[in-house]
Amino acid sequence: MREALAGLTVRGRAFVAAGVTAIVCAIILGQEELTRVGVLVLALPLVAAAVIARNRYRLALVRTVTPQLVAAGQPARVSLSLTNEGRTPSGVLLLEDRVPYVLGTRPRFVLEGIGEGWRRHVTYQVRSDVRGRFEIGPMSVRVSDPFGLVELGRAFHTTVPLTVTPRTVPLPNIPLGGAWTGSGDNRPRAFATGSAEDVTVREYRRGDDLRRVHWRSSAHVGELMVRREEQPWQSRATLFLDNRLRSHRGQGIASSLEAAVSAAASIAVHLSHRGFTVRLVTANGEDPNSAWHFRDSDLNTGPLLEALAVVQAIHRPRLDTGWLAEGAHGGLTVAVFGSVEAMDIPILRRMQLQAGSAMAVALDVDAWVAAGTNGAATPALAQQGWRAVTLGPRDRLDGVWQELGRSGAQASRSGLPGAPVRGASR
Amino acid sequence: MSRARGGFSGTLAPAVVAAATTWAATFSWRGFTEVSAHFIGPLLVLGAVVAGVGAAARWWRLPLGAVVGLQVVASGMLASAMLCGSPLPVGSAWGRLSTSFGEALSSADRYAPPVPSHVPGVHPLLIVGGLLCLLLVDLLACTLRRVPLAGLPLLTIYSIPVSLTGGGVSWWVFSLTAAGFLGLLFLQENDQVTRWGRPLGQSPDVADPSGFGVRTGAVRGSAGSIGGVATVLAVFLPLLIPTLNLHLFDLGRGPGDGSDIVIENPMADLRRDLNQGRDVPLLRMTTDDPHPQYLRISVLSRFLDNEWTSGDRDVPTNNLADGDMPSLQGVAPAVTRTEFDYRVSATRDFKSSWLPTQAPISRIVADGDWRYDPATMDFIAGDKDLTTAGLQYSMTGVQLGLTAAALVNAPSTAGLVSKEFTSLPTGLPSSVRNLANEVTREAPSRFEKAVALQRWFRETGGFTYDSHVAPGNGTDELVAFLTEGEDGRTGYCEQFAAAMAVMARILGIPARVAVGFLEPQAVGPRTWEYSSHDLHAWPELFFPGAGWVRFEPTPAGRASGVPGYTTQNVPAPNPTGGPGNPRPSEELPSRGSSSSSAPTDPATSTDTGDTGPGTRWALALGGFTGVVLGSLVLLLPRTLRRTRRDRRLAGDLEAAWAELRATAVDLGVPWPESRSPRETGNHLVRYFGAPVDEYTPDRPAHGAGLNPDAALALDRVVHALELRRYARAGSGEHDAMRTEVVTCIEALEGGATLGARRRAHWWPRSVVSRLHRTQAASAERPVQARYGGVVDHVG
Repeated sequence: MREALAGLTVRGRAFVAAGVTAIVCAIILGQEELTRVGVLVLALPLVAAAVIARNRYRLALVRTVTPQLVAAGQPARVSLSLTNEGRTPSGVLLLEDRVPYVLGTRPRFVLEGIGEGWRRHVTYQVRSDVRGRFEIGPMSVRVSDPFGLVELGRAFHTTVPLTVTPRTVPLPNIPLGGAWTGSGDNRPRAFATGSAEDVTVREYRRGDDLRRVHWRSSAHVGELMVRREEQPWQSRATLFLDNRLRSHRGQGIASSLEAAVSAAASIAVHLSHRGFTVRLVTANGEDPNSAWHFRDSDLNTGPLLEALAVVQAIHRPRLDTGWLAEGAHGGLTVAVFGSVEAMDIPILRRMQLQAGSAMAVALDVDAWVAAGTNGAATPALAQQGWRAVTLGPRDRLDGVWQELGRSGAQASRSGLPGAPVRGASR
Repeated sequence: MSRARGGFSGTLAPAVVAAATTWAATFSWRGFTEVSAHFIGPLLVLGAVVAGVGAAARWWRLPLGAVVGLQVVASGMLASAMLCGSPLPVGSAWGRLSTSFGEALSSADRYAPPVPSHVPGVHPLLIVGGLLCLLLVDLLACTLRRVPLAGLPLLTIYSIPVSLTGGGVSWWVFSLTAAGFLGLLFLQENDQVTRWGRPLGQSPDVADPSGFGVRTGAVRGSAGSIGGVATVLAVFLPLLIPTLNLHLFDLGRGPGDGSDIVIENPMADLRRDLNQGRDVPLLRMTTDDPHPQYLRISVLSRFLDNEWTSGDRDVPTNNLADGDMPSLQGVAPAVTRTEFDYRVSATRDFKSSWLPTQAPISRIVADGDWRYDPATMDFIAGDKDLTTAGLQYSMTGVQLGLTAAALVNAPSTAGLVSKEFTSLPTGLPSSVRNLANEVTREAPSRFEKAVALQRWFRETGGFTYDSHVAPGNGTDELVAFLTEGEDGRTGYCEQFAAAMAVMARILGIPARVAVGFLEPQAVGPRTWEYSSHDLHAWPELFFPGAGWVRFEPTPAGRASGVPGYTTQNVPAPNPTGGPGNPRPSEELPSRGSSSSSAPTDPATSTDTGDTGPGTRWALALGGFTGVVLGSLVLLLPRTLRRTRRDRRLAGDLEAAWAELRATAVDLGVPWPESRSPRETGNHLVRYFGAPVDEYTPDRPAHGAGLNPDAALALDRVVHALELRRYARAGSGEHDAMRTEVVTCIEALEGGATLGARRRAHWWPRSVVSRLHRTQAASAERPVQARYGGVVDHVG
């Protein structure tokens, strides 16, 4: 009851005040007729509050979103299943699902006179043109009396995440790096033999060669363990995205950062389909969630895209170089750059040195905000030994990608300085 | 039409309800005129027009100004056609219109409500007023969608009769209006809910057309019950709560056993007291007068068409009842005078704003602002709140030795008294005049004419005394009373006194009606008591040299004696003695049945309560009971809490833990619900302080490290509780940990402010809030059952 009284609306409070005033005036002036009006106006919100306070309804909500990972512009369906496990509510229930505004309008429902055991299922679509990670829900419930005098707020607690990934475009196959990265059945070797696989063991299965039994591990575990030798080699690629605020121009969905993220996502999907295990590195360094792991390439795109979905512009002035210090990797490095400044040059140099094959897409960021352009960072990158192409606001990424392949071929053919093909570092 | 969003009925419904509500509210104006159909019918038509035009205009989505303009023009033309026969009040129609309004205004000025049917009615005013309210309510409730504001014009309609006529509005008019207003509120809220639930901006193929939305209309039921309960409360609560009943001047509105009588119009009250109610002692008088009789309360000097009233009074502030009175008006010095002293004490239940006195008197002393009108010599309270309840006062009455011989020779009254005492309404039927002349044809002098009138009323006229006659002393009632016939010539003291006074005025004798007590009953030596059934009315006629002389036209069944001078020297068919021989047993056959009443003037109320020591004892007892009850209420929570603490501390560990929780609640320390004992303990220890002693400041410090002993004790309690709750049954001993819990309680108290400690001592919240909190917790806390289809609860 106390809660219901606290839930009096402005109208309800005004009624209480008017009623008390009328009664007091009626007593002072001795007008019984006015007392009636006062009692009516005063009793109305109080009775309504008492009725609302006696509500014993109990709603249960089950919410699912399919799919939970959706590309920008693609719809996802939210399905709600609502059950009343308590008694019939005496007021009106106003339900509103708190959907982020970029996903569309908030669905609203009015429930009234639902009995015990009432059950209803409803689905609605959400769609976003903006990448990101959104929480759908919680659903809020407002309980209101029929006269709008009392209103109580309630809310379900659960939310369901929905990740909207950047738009991707399919990219044509182009030569990546040296001859050893060719396509076909020859899977590219990411690193030399003699790596951790020697000490990797697994349980003995029927058919395993007894010569492969790892006796020391077997003694240690108490069961027969065998060395793993059939493990496929990985081809690894590093996808670098410069998401510093100073490197990009424009605001929101029309900014050059979004184009960069979209290009990075397309490249990530493309590399994954090519059989690479891709890790994402941003200006903040390596993202622990999308680091190289032992995983299948088909599943690789999901976490990568999720990570790309939440990439935000950051304020740091310099690129993080911590991931470069982990030792030589020598794999393929594909970078998406915005504008490049003088102080970035040494880092670009180090990145190129560590990469087996360094390819770059440089955005002509000034073209995103102005008609004129100062040109992209392509020449600077080329000077540091990168194979680089320029991406403008109106360029198609697949065309640019194709061009990157051609420039690589030209570079290798013409033997331009700064585009050496280096072998594996180990 | 695609312009219309919803159905026309959805637009029409609120308009119709608004108009109907306003129309129902105008029923409260029926008291203004005798022919209420003259404005009720037209207002119904006008309401229909306003609602229809408004709904149609809104349906077409005309702008606000256009909606209001259309309504005003349409209904205004219709009203004009009703009032002057032409839709456009121009030319001769304008003349007719202004004439009807002028007549209505003059009728409203001249006649008190209800305006009679034979004069030009006030319905033009009522129709225009009602139309204004119709338009205003429709504008606020439907066009602007501000239904609560529409209550203000409705309240205006409702309160006009209350303020103008003072009369009530019948409960069903109130209920109808309330129901209509609540209906409007509901319709508006319903409309808003519908708009809220509409999925906006979604294309139909994306939005689920059915959705969750369920409108079964069941909320109408709860709306009905809420509104019904509120309306019933509003109708009955003012009647049932006596404290709301502050109407001093309102007779018999109380619970109805007649124990509380208030008098507005002296005659009206007279009537009521004669017909109903118990015989309640009102005045106790101690006097040296051997036969005290008539005690006058008030004088009615003005006779208008419909009644006798006390007229306009001139009561200067220096005319106070604080000593000698001016010399007797119109009494010749030769008349012998006998003075008696009277001491009067009124009971607490006699609430009159007029002071009962003998007439005439030469001296009076009464506390309070009692002022007299020198023309009538009756005493009225100058202060609005002043009544005679419990008043004690003394006076000296004068009995004049009047003789018929002197009265017969009284000279003309010309110029001696105000014209008011001889004026008669112009509409007095000639039959009354003829009757007066006929009855007194044979009497030569004015006095003899008056005696003849008295005799005619008492004996020869064939009048019957009956206190159950319909009330009234106006012209119509007078004619009915004087006419011979089935119900004719039957009445009680009111009619007798009023008729005789009127007929005396016809004969040129200044006359007025006095209201007061007839005769007291002896209740002890020199002590007499007037009760409510002794209330009476009689005429007083003015004769130069004798002053205002009392007559007694009421038949012997009620008033046994007539003044002695009326039996002297004239044909005296009435053998009864003079006014000095009260024989209560004969005069008042039964105190309950035919008391002829009491003309009390303005405010007289009687009560059945005991007087004197009984009342005091009852008061004392009541006060004592009140004090006892009050202290019980004060002490009860404290005692309850203490009992509960003792019981819990004597109980097992869970009870001791509950006691700790109750202490925290009492002191306002937040107690985390649904936590483990360990978490609760960690939370609680932050509120510990050093135990209370005389040096404890008002706002002591509290914190985890301030009372290490208590912290250790709490640790032990928590540990024991964990063992008890979570360990295997039977593992280990479970002490009640009484001393540890007491230490914790003391530490909690030591950490609380002085105010919190006092509250916990005198008004421990845990006594009342325990049940409430657990219920609220179970009702409000959503329960998450599983994830992935997430089940979430609210309710």
